[in-house]
Amino acid sequence: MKFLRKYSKNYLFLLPFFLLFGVFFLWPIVFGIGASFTKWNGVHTPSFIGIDNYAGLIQSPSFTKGMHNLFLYILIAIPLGVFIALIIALLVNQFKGFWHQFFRAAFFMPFVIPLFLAAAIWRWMLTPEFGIVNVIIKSLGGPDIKWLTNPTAMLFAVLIVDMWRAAGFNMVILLAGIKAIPSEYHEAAKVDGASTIQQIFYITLPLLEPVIFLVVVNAFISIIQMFDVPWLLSRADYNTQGGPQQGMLFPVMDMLGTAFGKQRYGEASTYAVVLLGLALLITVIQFAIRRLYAKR
Amino acid sequence: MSKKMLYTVFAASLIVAMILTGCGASGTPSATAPAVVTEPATAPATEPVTIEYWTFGEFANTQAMKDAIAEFQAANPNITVDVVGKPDTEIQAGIIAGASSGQIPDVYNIALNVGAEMLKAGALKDISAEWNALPEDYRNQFAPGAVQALNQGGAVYGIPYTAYATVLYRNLTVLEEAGIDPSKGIKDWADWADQMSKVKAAGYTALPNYSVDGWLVFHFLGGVQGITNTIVDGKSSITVAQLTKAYQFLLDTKPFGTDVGPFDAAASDLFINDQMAFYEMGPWADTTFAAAAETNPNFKYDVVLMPGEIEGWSGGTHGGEFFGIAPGPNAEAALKLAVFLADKAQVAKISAEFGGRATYNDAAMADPSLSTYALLALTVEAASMGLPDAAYFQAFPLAVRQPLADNAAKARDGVLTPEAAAQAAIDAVNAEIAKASQ
Repeated sequence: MKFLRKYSKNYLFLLPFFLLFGVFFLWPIVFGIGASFTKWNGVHTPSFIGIDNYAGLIQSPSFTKGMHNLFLYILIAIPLGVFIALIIALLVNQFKGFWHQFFRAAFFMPFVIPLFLAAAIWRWMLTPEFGIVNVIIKSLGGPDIKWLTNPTAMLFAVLIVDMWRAAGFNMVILLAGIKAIPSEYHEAAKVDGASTIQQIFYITLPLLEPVIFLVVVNAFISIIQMFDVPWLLSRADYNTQGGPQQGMLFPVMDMLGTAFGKQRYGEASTYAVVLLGLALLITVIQFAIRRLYAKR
Repeated sequence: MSKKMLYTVFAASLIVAMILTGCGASGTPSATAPAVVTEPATAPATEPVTIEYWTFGEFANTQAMKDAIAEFQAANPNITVDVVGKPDTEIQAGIIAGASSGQIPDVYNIALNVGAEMLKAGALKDISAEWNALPEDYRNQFAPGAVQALNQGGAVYGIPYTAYATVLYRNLTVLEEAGIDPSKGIKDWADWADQMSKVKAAGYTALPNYSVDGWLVFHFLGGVQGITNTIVDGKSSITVAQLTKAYQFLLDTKPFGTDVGPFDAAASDLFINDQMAFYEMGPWADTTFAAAAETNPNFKYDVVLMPGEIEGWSGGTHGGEFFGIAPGPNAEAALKLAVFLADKAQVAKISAEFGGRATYNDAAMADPSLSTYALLALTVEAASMGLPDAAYFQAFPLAVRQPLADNAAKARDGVLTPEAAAQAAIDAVNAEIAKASQ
C-alpha cells in the first residue's frame, strides 16, 4: 500500500505509453509468434499446425535464396558502408565554416530524397547498354554490366543505391562522434609532431570506437530489414519479387509476398519470427564481442 | 513471493495468453467456410441504401463514370453510390483484409486473375439466379469467353467488364531502314526472327528483353499453337514442350534485342527515338506513343497482332476485369448498379473516354461510335486468341509468374537449356498450384 501511495501517480502518467506500446508494439509481436504456428489465410480461423511452417520455410527455395543474398550483402555492405561513411566524415571534418556545412548537407542529401524517385532514376542509370553508368564504364574500356538482370550484378546494384543513401546518414553520426572528441588530444598530438594520419589512427579512431560500434549494429539491423531499395529497384510486386532469378530478393520482400501475394499469413509470421531471432542473435553476439574486447 | 517474482509471473502469464490468442480459437477450426457466411435479409427495395463501389482510380475519375453514377442515382433515388477509386492491388489487398471482419465494398471491379482469391475470401456472391433472370438480350452482350470464365460449376460470380490484350507495336522508320516492308506483316515466329535479324544487321535493336517478368513470358507463351491456361488434375495445362518453345524463341532472338526490359522507360525511349523496331505490350502503351507521335511527326508506328509460332495463330496474353458483388444486405442494390454500369451504353462511353478501351461487352465494342478506334478493334481481335493471363477462378496463384521468369532468364542466359528451364519452371508452377489448393 505504501508502494502504491508513493508511486501510483508516476505509473499513472506512464500508463498511456505502456498501453500504446503494448497495443502497437508488443501485441503484434506476440500475436505474430502465435500465428507462426498456424495455417492462416487472413480470412478464415487460423488452424494450429505446430512447427510445420518452420520446417516448410527452411526447405523453401525463395527463403534460401533470400538468406543467401542477405548474408552475402552483410559481408560486403557493412565493412564497405562503414568505411565509406568514415572516410567521408573524416574528410568533411577537415573543412570549417561554410564548406563544412555545405559538404555535410550535400552528403546527407541522398538520404532525404524520396526513395521511389531515387530508385526510378537509378534504375534508368543502371539500364543495360544505354544507362549512363554503363556508358561511362564502356567508355573506360569496361564491359556492359547487366545490373538489373544478372543475379550477381543485381546485388551490387542494390549495394550502390543503398550505399549512396546510407553513407550520408552514417556520416552524420560519425561526424558527431568526431566532433565530440576533445580537441586537446589533437592539439597535444600536433605539438608532439603527429601527422594528420597518425592522429586519425591513434586518437580519432580509438575514441570513435563506440560510435562506430553503434553504426555497425544499426547497419546490421537495417540490412536484415532490407526492403525498400531492392523492392523498388527490381520493380517487385506482391506476386513476384527480386527480379530475374530473384537476384534482388531479400527476406522481408519474400515475407511480404508470402503474406499479401499468397495469403499465407502463418508462413509470413514464421518468416518474421525467424528474422527477429536473427536480429536479436546478431545484436547479442556483437555486444558480447565488444564486451570481450573491452575487457582485454 | 517477492515483488520481482510476482511481476515476472504476471508478465509471463500475459505473454502466454497473447500467444495462445494468436494461435486461434479452440475447437475445430473452419478452414473452408468463408468469413462472410450469413447473408442477412436484403434491404427492401424502396428503403434508402448507400452502397460502396470500389473501382480503379483511372475509372473513378472519368467523366463517363461520374455521369453514369449520376444517371443511376437519378433512376434509383433510394440508392446512393459511394465511388472509391483505388489502384488494383489495393482493391485486392483491401478486400482480403476486410473480408475477415465483413468490411468489404458492396460492389467492386477486380481482375479475373484474382477471382479465386476473392472467392476464397468469401467476397463474391453467387449471382446465378439474378444473372439468369436478366433479359437474354442483356446477357448476350458479353463475350462468351468472359461469361464462361465467370461461370464456375453452375455458379456465376460476376458480370464481365473491361478487357485487355497485348499487341505488337512496330516502328515503321526502323523497319524501312532495315529493308522490311511493313505492309507484308509478320507471318509467324520464323518470319519475325528473320525480320529481327535484318533490324540488327541494319544497326538497330529488335525488341526488349521479355524474360524479366513472368507475365511477359505469357506474351510469347501465347504464341504457341493450341496453348490453354487451365488446371487439369491439379496441374497446369501448360506443358513443358509448349514452354520450351517459348523459351527457345526468346533465346534465339536474344542476339537481335536488348537486355532492357519493356517496363523500363529506356525501352519505350528506344522505340520512340527510332532505335528499336518492335515493342509488345498492352494497349495502354499507345498513349505514350501517340503523344510522342504528336510532338515528333517523324516518329511513325503501327500496331499489329502479336505473331504466333505458326501462321494464323496469334500470340500475346489477355485478361480483364469484372464486377464482383459482395454477399450482404446491399447485394441487390449493388447488383443493380453493376448491371447498369456493365451495359453497352455505359461501357461504350467509358471505352471512348479511354481512347478505345477494350471491354468484354461485344455489343459495345461493335458500336459505330467506337469504330474510329483502330486499336480497339485490334485488341478485341487479340483478346480472342493468345493466352489468358491466369486459370480463372482456379487455384492459380499469380506467384507462378516468378518461376516462369526465373527460368526464362536462365534459358536466355544459357544457364540451362530451354528444355531444362521449362521443366524446372513447370515443376515450380505445379508446386505453387498444389500449395494454393491446400
